[in-house]
Amino acid sequence: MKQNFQLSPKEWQLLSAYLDGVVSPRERIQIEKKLDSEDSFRQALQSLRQTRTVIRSMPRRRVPRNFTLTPEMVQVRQPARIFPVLRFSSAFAAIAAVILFAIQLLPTSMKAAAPIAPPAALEMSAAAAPASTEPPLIFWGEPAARAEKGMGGGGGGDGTAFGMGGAADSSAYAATPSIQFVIPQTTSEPGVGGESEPLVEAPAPAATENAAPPLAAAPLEATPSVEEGTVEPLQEAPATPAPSRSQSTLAGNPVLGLNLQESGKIIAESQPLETAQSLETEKKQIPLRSLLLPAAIGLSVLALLMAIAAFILWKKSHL
Amino acid sequence: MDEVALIGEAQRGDLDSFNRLVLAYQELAYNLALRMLDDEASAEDATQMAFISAYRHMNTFRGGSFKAWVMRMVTNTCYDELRRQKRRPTTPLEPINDEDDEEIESPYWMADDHNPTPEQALDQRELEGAIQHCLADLPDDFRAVVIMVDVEGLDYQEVSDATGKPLGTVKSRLARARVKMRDCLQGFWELLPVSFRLKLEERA
Repeated sequence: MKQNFQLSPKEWQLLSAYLDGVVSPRERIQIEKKLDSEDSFRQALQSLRQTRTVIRSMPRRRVPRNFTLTPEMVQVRQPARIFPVLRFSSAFAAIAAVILFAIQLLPTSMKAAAPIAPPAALEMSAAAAPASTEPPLIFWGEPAARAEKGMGGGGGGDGTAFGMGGAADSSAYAATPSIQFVIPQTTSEPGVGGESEPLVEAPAPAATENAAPPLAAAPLEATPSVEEGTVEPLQEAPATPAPSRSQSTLAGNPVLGLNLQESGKIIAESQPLETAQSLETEKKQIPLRSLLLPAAIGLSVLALLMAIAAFILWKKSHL
Repeated sequence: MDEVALIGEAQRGDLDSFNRLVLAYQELAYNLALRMLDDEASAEDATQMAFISAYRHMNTFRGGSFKAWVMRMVTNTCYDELRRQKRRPTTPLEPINDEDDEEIESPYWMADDHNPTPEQALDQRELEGAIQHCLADLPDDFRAVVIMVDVEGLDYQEVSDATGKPLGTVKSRLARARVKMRDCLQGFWELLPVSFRLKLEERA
């Protein structure tokens, strides 16, 4: 048993199988040919045979006891009553996570679908504010963009978009308390003055023309300081001075999206308190909404962990 | 009652029939577990667990060699136990010198259990101990195959059924296991009693 033989693993496998008599006839012929011709091959077979004989010489031990089963041994343990609940906990957590994700996404899409309404409401609420000696403010866009008192930059944006203002000076505000879309800038400020270019660049000329006739019926007081003749449509309405022009321009304003009658109505009826309440409500909803995403992520993680635990328990129970 | 009828009754939940099958195969199962685990207590536990598992999964037996099916249960239980032992290896208790709280560095404790000198191995358990020592050095999969074929006397097909491996894999593992056993046993061969060696060579 001390010899070393340089045989390949395949040759050892053939010899081992030949020893047990589990080779094909072709392999048997091949092996016996080698056994006749190669002495090392023959010695290798002899060493394997001795090894097998030694291993087979191991005594078999008698069993220390009988391994028969009793009913108690094979009794299947009843799972706890809470187990059915736990079994589906992963699915419940996953569904809850999906619902929370959906809730998280829904208000965002609804908010994005109606971006025009809040600015209009804000503007109207600003318009409904009682007139005072201080110049009124006009709010464009989000409340965050609200300008400080006396800052007229908000009105009309860059001044070229809508040409609001009609060159009104501060004295005109006191005379026209119901018309409060006037830019509080001085007339010397470019962009908010009564230049004709902004009106020419009005996005919807047809809308301007359509808005012009109701101006005559609108219960708006004239503002004499407004320079007439700066805008052609307004010249066709002799009873409607410049402030009305600003209203007409506003009515044709696609941003505000209101015609004159509607804006007048809303101005009369709107109350700043309601707007403030709605803003507060929205602010209160923001923290609640911000909690939804962590909750959904937490539930997703919980669902994953429960699924892993369920898989491990299932595998253990099926061993 | 023949084996097929007993298996049928056991599959219908008859514990007495199953226990008669247990009595028929328990020695085979216990010896396989003993050679696989090299520990009597662990082999006892593994054998009992294997029969409990076999009873619970009787409906998965679809015919063929029931002996191979039982061997598969035992082999799987032994693999689980070996994995558990590898995860949580146990450390044998060692004597502590009370005077200086240091371990006694005697040659007996310094010796590596897996590499005993041939004399020590033969003194302890003689031939059986040497073989068991060489078996323990084999990879688990090789050990299972060589025990089933050379110790338990299963044929290749039964080993294939028991291990769930194809015949070619069984042949390959058996050949490699035998070569490793041959190399391992070389050190013990010359130390065997001459009469015993002659007896073995005559058998070979």
